[in-house]
Amino acid sequence: MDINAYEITSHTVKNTYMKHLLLTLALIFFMFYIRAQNKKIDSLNNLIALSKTDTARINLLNAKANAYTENSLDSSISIAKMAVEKAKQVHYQKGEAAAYNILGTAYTYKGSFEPALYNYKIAEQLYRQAADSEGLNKVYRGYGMYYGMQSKYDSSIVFFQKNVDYDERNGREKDLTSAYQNIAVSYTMLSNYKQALFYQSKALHLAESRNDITAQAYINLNMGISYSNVHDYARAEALYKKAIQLAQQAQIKNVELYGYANISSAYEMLQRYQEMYDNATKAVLLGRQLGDDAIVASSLSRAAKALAYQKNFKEAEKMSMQSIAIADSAGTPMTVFQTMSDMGFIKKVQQQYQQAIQYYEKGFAALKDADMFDEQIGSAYSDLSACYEQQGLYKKALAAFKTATHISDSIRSRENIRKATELSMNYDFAKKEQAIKAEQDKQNAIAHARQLALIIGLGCTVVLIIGAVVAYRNKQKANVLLQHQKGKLEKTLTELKATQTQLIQSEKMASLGELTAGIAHEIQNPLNFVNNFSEVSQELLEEMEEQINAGNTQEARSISAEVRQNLQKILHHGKRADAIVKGMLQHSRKSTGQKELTDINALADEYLRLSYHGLRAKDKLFTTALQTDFDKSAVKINVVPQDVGRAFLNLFTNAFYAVRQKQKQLSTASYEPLVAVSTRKLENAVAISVRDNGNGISDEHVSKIFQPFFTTKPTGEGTGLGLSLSYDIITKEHGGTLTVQSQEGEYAEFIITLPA
Amino acid sequence: MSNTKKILVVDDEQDVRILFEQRFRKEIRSGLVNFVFAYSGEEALRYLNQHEHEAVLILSDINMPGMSGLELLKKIKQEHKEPPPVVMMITAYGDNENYQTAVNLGADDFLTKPLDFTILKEKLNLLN
Repeated sequence: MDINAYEITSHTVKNTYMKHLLLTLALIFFMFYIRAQNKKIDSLNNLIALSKTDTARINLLNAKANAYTENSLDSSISIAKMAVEKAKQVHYQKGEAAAYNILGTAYTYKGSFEPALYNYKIAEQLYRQAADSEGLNKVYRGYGMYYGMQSKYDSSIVFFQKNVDYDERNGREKDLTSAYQNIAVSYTMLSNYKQALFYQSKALHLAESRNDITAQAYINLNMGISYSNVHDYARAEALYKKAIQLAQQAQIKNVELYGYANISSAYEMLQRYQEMYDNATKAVLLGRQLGDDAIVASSLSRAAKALAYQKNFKEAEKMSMQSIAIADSAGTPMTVFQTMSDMGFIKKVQQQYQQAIQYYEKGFAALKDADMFDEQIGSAYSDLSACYEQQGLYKKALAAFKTATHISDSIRSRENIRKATELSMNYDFAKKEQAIKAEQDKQNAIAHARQLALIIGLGCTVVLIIGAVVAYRNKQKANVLLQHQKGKLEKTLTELKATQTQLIQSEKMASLGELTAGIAHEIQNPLNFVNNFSEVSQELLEEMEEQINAGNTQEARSISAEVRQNLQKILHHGKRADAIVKGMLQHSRKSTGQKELTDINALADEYLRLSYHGLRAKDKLFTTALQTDFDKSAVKINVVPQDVGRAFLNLFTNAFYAVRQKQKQLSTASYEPLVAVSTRKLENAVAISVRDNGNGISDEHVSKIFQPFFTTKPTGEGTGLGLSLSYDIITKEHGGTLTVQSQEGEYAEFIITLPA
Repeated sequence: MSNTKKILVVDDEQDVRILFEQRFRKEIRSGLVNFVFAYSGEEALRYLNQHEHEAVLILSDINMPGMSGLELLKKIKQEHKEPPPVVMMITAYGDNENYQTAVNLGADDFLTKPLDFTILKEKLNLLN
């Protein structure tokens, strides 16, 4: 039942792996057992007709059902169900289990995971009862595929690992090769290239010892892809070359094709553009032979890009147009994206940014629904960003840049894995070499000539490793520099954010400071009454007792009335102090952001008093007339009282500041400062006006007045955030408006409207 | 009546009237003092203009809407020179700066709220 393993990989490729990253690196897997499918089914039909025993018949039905899993899942399911029935009739438990296992596989391929799991479970149970470990191994393989197809690679690895253990224990080399490959696929999908390469090396070793050229071709290709993924293009190049050579030898055209396509990508990274072009062209020719439009389009596009690198723009554009046309009809989003963004690149290199932008945008539009992140997409975004910037579209440039950064950040986490991989890989290779050497030593006695060849081979590997280490060092240096710069930028950004937070906090504290002095005044006044009225009441009660003792009831009664009145006063002023403290707490408390029905008149009045007294506490000589005109019909409205209060406070403080400035400038005689606060009920809103007859605001300043950090106050006196915060509170938080009218030298009027 | 001291109390809090009348009920009953109340600086000035030289002592709050106690103090000290009435400032702000401002403007004394009437009475006695 080797077939299963290969089917797993081929199907997994189709269903899950292909839609992931890897647009230039077309991962391919073992598929060569499947090609003979139709022939196999024909001969199976003959055998079924000739079979004499029930068990033989059931075995053959199962084989047929298994063969059908490749091209007709429904046929496979109905044949397997038939096999289940027949096996039950004759109590052939192993045959029944095998049929259930095939059902699980067929349903998994169909993407019907619920029935798949159900059938696998029955198969597992039956094999367990029969203590058939070989059968169980097959079910595990099924589970591995079942999880892999649902992108649950961790779970799939658990089961593929069981396959590896079983096959290793029982020396089933052929199965083991595919088990290694399967587990490597899952690790690749987890971006764990170290483990992927570990199993790929094992598979390669096995394939070499079995002299299986076909397997070697596939494994070399996949290993090349793994090395490309870790940016070790030198090693990748050698492996692709080997894969191409082996594929030619074994006549596996698709491996040869993918070999060309992938090595072309590697050459781009190695900046060897002529070789990039040559191999892309080979891929185009072979792709046409095999009728694979997607790879023809992407390879043509790659060749065009190679020409652009060599500054042959005319040919490059021509070829790129061709690739776009083919991609259009082939219709895979990835290919469309690749051809479009390559053309964008070609235009960008020629500084034709406008056109470049169009192509990039078309490319990204093709990807719109596919949730994909890979380096190619990331670098296309940063290219697009550069084009926008050249065109002066800075906002778009920033957005594209952010996307690029976002992608590169998400790749960076993979990058860390890569780094670890590279370090440990050198170690793995050393170990592998040791193993090969040890084996070779044994064979030395048999063939001396071979040893010579091996030494040369080893020499080559060493050269490769040295090359790789040098390349890696250079890359690491560049990485360190980039990381350093990124770190610096991030630090600056963090500092800016912290400063901003601090400024906002200090604005809040400033407004709290303005309040506390007012609060002190407000609270000492009621306390004055509480203390004194209670003290005097004590005296009055003593006096009352004296009067009672003297039989002077009339007098006693009048004193008692006074005491009662005092107690009322104490209660009244106590409550007043209580309200002030509560108001203070409310202000210092972080805004809950909770809107509540609030009497806007009372709120305005409260903050007016607090801010006035607050200011007076700081500036003894300041005085102004206050005029309030509250519309009694203004109903309660839903606002966050602390926040609207803060906005009021800012407006009042500004008004007081304005009249105070004017008062300082003019002789006291002629000028009468006035701050007027009024409310009006509108149809669907309440308007609050704060008007002062101070110096007003110049036209020049009116336009900037709500901008953050704009202030006309001397340095240190204003943060320039008061009005901007107020503006945000009123407009953004409450959906109201905040406007200003002013005549310089005469007045300023701020009008808030809040929706009722 | 010449023994009776007339004291003008200036405060925007209406309840000071009851408080002072109760606190000084014995002194009022015995004719030692006589209180007049004004609820703003402006009102106090009007009273002083109409009843010149009547009030020998003025007790004024500082924080009041409209004309502040300090402004009142300034005006009294400028305009009502002979004989200079004694002005005591009463305020909820007991800080040094406030005190200095009041003293610079010619305040004769400085008291803080909550008011200690025992101290106030002692100070009044010293005026004799």
